[in-house]
Amino acid sequence: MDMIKQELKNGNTLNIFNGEELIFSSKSNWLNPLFEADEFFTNNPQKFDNLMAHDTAGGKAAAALMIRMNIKRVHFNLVSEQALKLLKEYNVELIYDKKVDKLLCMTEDLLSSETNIDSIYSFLRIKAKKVSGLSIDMNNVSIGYNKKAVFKNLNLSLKAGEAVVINGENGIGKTTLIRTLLGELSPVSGSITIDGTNINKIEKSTIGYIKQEKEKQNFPTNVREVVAMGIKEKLSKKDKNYLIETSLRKCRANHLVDRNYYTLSGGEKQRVSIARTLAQKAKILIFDEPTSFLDHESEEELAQILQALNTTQMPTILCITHDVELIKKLNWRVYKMERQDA
Amino acid sequence: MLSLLLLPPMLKALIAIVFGGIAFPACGVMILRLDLVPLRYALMHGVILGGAIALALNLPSLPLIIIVNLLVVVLVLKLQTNNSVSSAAAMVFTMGLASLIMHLFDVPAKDSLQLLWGSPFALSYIDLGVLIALCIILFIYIIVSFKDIVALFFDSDIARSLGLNVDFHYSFMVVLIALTVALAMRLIGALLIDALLILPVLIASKFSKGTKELFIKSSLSGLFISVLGYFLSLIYNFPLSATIALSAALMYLILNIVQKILINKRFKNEKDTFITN
Repeated sequence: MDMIKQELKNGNTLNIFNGEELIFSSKSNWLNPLFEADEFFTNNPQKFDNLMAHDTAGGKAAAALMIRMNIKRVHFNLVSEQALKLLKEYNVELIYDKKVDKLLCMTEDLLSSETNIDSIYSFLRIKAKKVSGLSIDMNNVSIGYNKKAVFKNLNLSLKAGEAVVINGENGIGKTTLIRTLLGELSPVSGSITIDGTNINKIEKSTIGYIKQEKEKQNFPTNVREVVAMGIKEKLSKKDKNYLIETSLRKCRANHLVDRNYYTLSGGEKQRVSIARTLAQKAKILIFDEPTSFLDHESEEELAQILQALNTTQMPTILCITHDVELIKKLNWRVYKMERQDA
Repeated sequence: MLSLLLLPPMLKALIAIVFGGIAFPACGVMILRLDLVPLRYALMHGVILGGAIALALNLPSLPLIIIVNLLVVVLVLKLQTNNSVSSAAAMVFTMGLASLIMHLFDVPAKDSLQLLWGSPFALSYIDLGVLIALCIILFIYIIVSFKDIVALFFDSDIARSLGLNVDFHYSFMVVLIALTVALAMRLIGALLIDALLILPVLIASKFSKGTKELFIKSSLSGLFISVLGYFLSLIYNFPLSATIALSAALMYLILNIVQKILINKRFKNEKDTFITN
C-alpha cells in the first residue's frame, strides 16, 4: 500500500513514513514542518532507510530539505518547476497533483540560482530564525593585561551563526583575545557586545570553549562525564542522559559515550568536546588552535565537523588558528591580527 | 579474636581503619588528578614539623599538625608561581625546622619515630571524631560538587569557561588533602601514607573508565586493603601500618602481574588468529 498517495488527514501538512509506518507528522506551516522533521531525525537514534513524505506544497526550499533528510519518494499536492528539477537531479521519486512554474513566495525567488543543498539549508535556517548563534560586536577594542594593551583597535563584527577564522602570528594576542571573550580579562578599552549585551553581563555558558589537547592523562574520565560537565540546568537523570546522547549524536560520537576520553583519538576528542558545548547550549563556540595535536586524518575529520556544525546548528564560531591547511579547508572569513607598531 | 576486637583501642582502630580506608583514597584521587603529588610531600613534612612542635611543647599533636598543614597550604597557594617549586620550598623549610626543633627541645628519637609510623591504636576519641567528620565532609563535597570536580580534573581553563569558581574548588580540595594527610599520618604514619592515599587509586585506575568509577573503586580498594591489613596484623601480630602498606603494595604488584599476563595472552591469541587467517 502506497502510504504517501493517501490524503493528508486531521489537518496535517506533512507526513513522513518509513516504509508503511508513519514516523512523523506535523500541522505547522511554511517550512516549519520540515525543520521539525529535521530535528526529529537528528535526535532519533534509529536509522530509517526507506523514507517517504507527503507534503501539501513544495518549492525548491522544501525539495532541498527533503533531499538533505534522505527522503527517497515525495508526494506534493502542489509542486514548483524548480523543486521538480532539484528532486530529479538527486534521483528523488516525485508524485504530484498539480505543477506550477514557481510558488508565490520570496524564498523561491531568492533560491532560484542556488544549487548547493548545504547552502540552501543554511540560508533557510537563517530565514527561519533557526540559528543557535548570537551576534558579536567588537568596537575599537584593546585587549591586554593590567590595563596594558597587547593588541589595539580590534574591530570585528560577526552575525548570528557566522563562522570566522582568527589568524595571527604567535604572541600577537590571540590567547589574550580568547581570555577576554571568556570573561577572564576585561577589555583595556572599547566594547564587546554579544547580541547587544555587554560581554560582562552574559551567562558564562553562552560561550563554549574548545582548546587544544596535549596532556596525556593516566586516570580515566569517561565521555559521558565530559559532556555532562557542560549541562547547567537541573535535569532528571533521564533527561540528562537524553541531552548527552543527543549532543553526541549530533557530532557522530554517540558510540563513544562510555569510553575513557583519554583513550580516544584526537579527532574523536574534538567531536566529544563539541558535543560538550552543544549540551552546554553554547551559542558561541571558540576553538583555540583545534588542530595543534591532530594527525592529518583527524584534521580532515575536524574540518568536516566544523563545516557541518556551521551548516546545521549554526552557532557563531570563532576559530583561532594559524593552521593554513585548516583555513583553506574551512573557507570562512579570515580576520588577521597583524603586528602593530608600538 | 572477637573478644580482642571488643577492646576499646582495637575497636577504635578498626573504625578508624574503615573510615580512613574509604576516605583517604578519595582524597588520593584529588591528589593524582590535580597533579598535587609535590604538595602531598610538603604536607607529609608539615606533619613531621607539627608533630615535632607537639612533642617539644608536650601538646596534643593532631591540632598542631592540622594547623601546620593548613599553613603549608596557604604558603603553597600564595607562592603559586609553580606548584612543584613552592611545594619543594615548603618541604625543605618544614623538614629543616622540624629537625631544629627536635634538636633544641631534645625530643627523644623514639617519640619522633612514632610520627613516621603512626598507630591507629593510639587514636583518641577526638582524633576518631575528627576523622569521621572529615570523611562525611569529603563525601558530601564529592557528591554535591561531582560535576564541578570532574570539570576541574578535566581542565581548569574549560572549568573556568563553564563559570566554575575554580579557585574556590581548588583551595577547598587542597585543604581537604591537608587535613587528610594530617589524619593519615596519625593512622599509618608519614612514611606509609601512600598505602592508603595513592596505591588504592592506582589499583582502581586499572579497572575504571570514568571519574565516578575511579572514586568508588578507589574507596573500595582502600577499604579492602585496610581491613585485610588490620586482620592480618591481628592474626600474625604484625605492626598494623606496615601490614596495611604491605597489603596495598602486594595487591598492586599482583594486579600488575595479572594484567601483564592477560595482555600477553590476548596479544598471543590475536597473533594466532591473524596467522590462521
